[in-house]
Amino acid sequence: MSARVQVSVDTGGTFSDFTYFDRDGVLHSFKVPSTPKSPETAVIAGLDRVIATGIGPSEIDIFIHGTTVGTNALLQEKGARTALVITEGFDAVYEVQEQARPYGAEIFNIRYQRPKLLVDRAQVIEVPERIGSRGEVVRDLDLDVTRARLQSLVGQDIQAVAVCLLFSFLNPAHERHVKALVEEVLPGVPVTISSALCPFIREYYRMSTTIINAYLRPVMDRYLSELDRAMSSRGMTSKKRYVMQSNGGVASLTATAERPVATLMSGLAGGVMASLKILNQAGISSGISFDMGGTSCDVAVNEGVMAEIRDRFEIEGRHVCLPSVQVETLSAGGGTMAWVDEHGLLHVGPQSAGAMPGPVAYGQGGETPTITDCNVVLGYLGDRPEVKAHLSLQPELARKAIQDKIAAPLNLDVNEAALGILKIIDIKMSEAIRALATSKGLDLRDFTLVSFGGAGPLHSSRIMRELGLKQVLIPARPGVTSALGLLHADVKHEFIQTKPAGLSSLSADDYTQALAELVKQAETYLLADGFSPEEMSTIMQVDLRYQGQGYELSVEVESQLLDREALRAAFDAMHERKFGHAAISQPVEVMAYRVTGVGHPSRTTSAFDTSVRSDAAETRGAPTHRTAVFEVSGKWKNFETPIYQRHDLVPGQTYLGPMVIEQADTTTLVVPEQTVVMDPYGNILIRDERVDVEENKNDRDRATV
Amino acid sequence: MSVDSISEEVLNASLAGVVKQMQEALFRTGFSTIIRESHDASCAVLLADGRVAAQHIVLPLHLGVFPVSVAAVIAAYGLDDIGPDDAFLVNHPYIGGSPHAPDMCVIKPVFVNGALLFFTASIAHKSDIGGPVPGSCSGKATDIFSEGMHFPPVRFVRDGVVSKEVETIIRANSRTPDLVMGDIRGQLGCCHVGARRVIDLCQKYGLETLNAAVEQRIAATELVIRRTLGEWADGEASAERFLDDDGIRVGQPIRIAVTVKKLGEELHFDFSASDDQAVGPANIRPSLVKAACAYVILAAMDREVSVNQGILNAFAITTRPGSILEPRIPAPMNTYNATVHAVINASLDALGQLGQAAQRADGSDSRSLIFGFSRPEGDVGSAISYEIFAGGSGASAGFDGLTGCHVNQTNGRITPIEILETEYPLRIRQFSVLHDSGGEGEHRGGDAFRRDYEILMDQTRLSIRSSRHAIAPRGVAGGGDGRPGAACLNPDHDAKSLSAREVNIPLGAGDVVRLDTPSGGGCGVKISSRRRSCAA
Repeated sequence: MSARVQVSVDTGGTFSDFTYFDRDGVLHSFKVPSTPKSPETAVIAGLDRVIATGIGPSEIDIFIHGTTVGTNALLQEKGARTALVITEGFDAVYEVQEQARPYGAEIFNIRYQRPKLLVDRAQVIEVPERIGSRGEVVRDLDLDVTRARLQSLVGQDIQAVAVCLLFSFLNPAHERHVKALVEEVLPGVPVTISSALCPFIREYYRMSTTIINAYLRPVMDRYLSELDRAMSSRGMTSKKRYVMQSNGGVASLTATAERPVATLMSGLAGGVMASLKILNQAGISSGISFDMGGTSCDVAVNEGVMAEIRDRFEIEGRHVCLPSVQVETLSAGGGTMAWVDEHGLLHVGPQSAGAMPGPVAYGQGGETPTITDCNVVLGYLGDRPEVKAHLSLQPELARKAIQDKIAAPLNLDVNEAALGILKIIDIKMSEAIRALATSKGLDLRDFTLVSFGGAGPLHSSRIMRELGLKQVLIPARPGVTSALGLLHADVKHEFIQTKPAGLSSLSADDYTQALAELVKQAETYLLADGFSPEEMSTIMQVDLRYQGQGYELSVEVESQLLDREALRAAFDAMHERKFGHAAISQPVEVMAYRVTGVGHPSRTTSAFDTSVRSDAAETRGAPTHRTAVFEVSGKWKNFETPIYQRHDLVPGQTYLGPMVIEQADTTTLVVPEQTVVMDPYGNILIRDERVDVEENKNDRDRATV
Repeated sequence: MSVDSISEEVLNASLAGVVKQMQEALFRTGFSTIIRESHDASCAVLLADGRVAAQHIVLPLHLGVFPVSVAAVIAAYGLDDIGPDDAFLVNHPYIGGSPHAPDMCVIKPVFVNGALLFFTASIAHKSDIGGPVPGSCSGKATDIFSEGMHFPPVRFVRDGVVSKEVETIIRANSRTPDLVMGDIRGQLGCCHVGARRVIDLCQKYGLETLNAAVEQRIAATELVIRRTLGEWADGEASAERFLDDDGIRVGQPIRIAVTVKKLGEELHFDFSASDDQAVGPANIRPSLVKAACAYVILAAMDREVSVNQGILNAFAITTRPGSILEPRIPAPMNTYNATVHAVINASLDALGQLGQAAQRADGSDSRSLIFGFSRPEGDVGSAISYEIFAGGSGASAGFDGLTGCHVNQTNGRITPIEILETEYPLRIRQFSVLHDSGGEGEHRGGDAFRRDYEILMDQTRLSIRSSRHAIAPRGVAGGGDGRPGAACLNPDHDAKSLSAREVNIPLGAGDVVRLDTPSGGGCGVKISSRRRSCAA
């Protein structure tokens, strides 16, 4: 029997989510507690649990992993002892960085500190060499001096080396020589050279990325080797073992061990890719991925079926220039706290109660009211099975905390206070989404909010209303959506050549050659991964900019032949669409060529094509009822609100809010004057429909018969 | 009318979102790199009398700009002659509130139910608005007429139609007309975005509710600041800082002096003792002094507040007419940054003496190097390289200063060497840290850096607008001073020293220009020297 089981695991801070297709194509999911101190333990435990269900290790065809190992090592500054090799006379590049503070509150911090340098001054080696701006050698690399200077690192317990020389993206010869010398002087120490990792113009960003990569390599290598060994020792034979990359594609364990910096957004990319896949399947083109958990909320706005990719991003003040899905993290989650300050002003966030003590209602000693406490007090959030397993909600504690800490000092009643706090957090999230959309020039009216994570579906119906969106979509398994996204990922290899030239003076042969070489590289990598030509595709892009501009846009091209006019027109149009204007008389420059090789692992099933129950409506469980509080015309009002179990919803049937839909991994809230329908894929769709009260009542009665 | 705390927070969170959205719209549609990359632009929503309802702070100095500029529009046109589909340009430092002429405001009235109730406004630095030097900022200017075109409030849009006349004049007087008009259009667009949102908020929540929420929050912001001031010890302290010179009277230092008086919830900055107005472009207007003091208070408070008029209302300043901080027209002001740094450093120093600001040594201010290249005929590419540099930042209690990092109000990113060499006939020969150059102390000042430029083409010209080449950044609490900066031509042979402000020095292929930035001051007595003094 051929191997067809597909397994994914998404490591989170508290839980690691597993999803897999068994040999019959049936989808399963479960959670295991994460083990931050030795992250492989949780992953291996989950794999053993899959195997314990009777699946033979040799039946596993694909294993895909979203990991935070690299990210955590960077944030906690627990990477390797790293040396840096640079062009002589340029040690200020790394130290001065951008020369600026981040925008925002840090401007007012007169004691602003940068994140700690990952390489000490004493481990920076300057080598005599220089490449010029056309790739020409201005000063030869002095091999003897270089070797002698590298010798000074011997005996210093150097565990990794980063090499970043000026203009190496145009001419990598010196970096390659240096690499060979390092391997000679420090045998066995992994060397990262910038021209191989991220051959982009702008030396500081390239250097920072190269250093982070070197810094993380030993950590990532050890981690992935453990996993690899564990899989093989259990009898898994397939080599399709992948890790999600920041760019939304996956790469092999070997490739990932060499490029750990490319996984810094691994954990977030799964969710974004999942929401794109869900929308695509439902025939919806524009969506907002909204993943709200306990402490934060990850938001990505995507127009069309492709994930929006950015070339550069920051992580806690460190700079990385590698492609990554565009995703913003907001400080808003179930644990976000509300308090009244000594001047009587109400604050909601960004501080969070975290996992401990957590919300007051969890009874773990929390005293400050949180968003979750408001959801409990208002009757939205009840004891869910998976919550019950760990603890029991204590609404009285939450009510008392909101009464004492918020309502009393503000002279409000408890319901007013709780509704108000939710309104404020919803406005804050809505404004952040609006700013994000505006920064891309998007009109949100036709967008669908794909809402998941433990807390997302409790807030999305109000956020949709605030933003005037078309609808909310709650996927079938909101608690493990990111892990499901992993099951659908394609293998991606990205190649770039930076070679600035004026579009009008560019040689057509150079253009064709640059793209052809990159395509060849991409195909070579995909073949090595075991993909047949039918399973692979390539995407070609050219980075263009107006002369003198500080940024480029990537324009996709179909042919390797240069068509100046078409390229120019496509760039002008893209600039117009993204930035609201084009400069059709301004000269255009080609900055770089990019090719992405995509390998599509063969798949038969969609993780999002959840079979919905086909039995008659009469056999389904009737809703229970609970008193929940909603705002109507500025005043709160009690509603006897139906509480449905998700699996009891009849596909195609329209339900009317208010209602609460419970399932194992999340709770969905529908406010008054909204309709709900479950689509053929098992997604819940919520829309704003203001229906008059009488009709509302009738419909609800009908729905609950 | 008053609103409850929830509505107050909901509406103010919404307004904070509106100005953020305006800012994103401006960053997206702004044409020039100055807006898109350097983010030298800000946006605000104001009440009909010009008080700030909400502002997104990108650059702290922009806080004081809008009230003065809106007041100027009202004074110039009168409320009766402002229509719902009009928009105005203001960049006049004396009549409006701009730091200098290249910072241009676009101001749009917002009408609700037929009444003028709000303004939306944006300010952004323009690449060139005429004058004797590219970029409009001559370090040798002696009046504002040498600093580019000025627009006291001028109606730029009437009844939704852009004034062709005004646009024609701007285009004819700028070296970069497309960039300037592109940016102005972007600013106009973001004012429209803001206006639509404000009208939506009025419709959704009611005008009275919105107004009450804004008024309450302005009052609350002022109250929070005043209460914080009330917790500080009362007292009076003075401090001073010196600028190298004003670029014209070379070698003659200029004194900025402040006396800070704190009594109860009142805080007063008195700058009367500062020197007379400068002949060269080192002057700043009181609205900038006010914004600088607001920066100082927010930095000292270490607490986030809503950004609105309440901040400016919470304290008082005095400047002396005819002084460098309240010059008389037409005294020039285009190199205002060094003066603002001095105002902030002196004020923080004084507050520090009262025990109310973290002790921090001075940083290195900011400076720019401008290379002008002659380009072959027909090549319309940019022929001006404009770079902004910091130096070492100052140390503070608990922290060393940083190598090459902006402080206070300036925050320009450095231009990558690879971009510079790709675009211009220049080669950087070194960009190195001047190790251990930071002022000594328990915590060391941030190190300076050195840049050597090799000129690759004849007929190149260099302008420098720097500061602190004579007077070093000051240390604090027993820490040593930083090192002053320096510039010279051909350091390896025939070295010729350059001054901090140079205009259009001719250079040829093979010439080398060296810039050493200043380093930051240290903080606290150096441990080893303290030990020594104990032993003695």
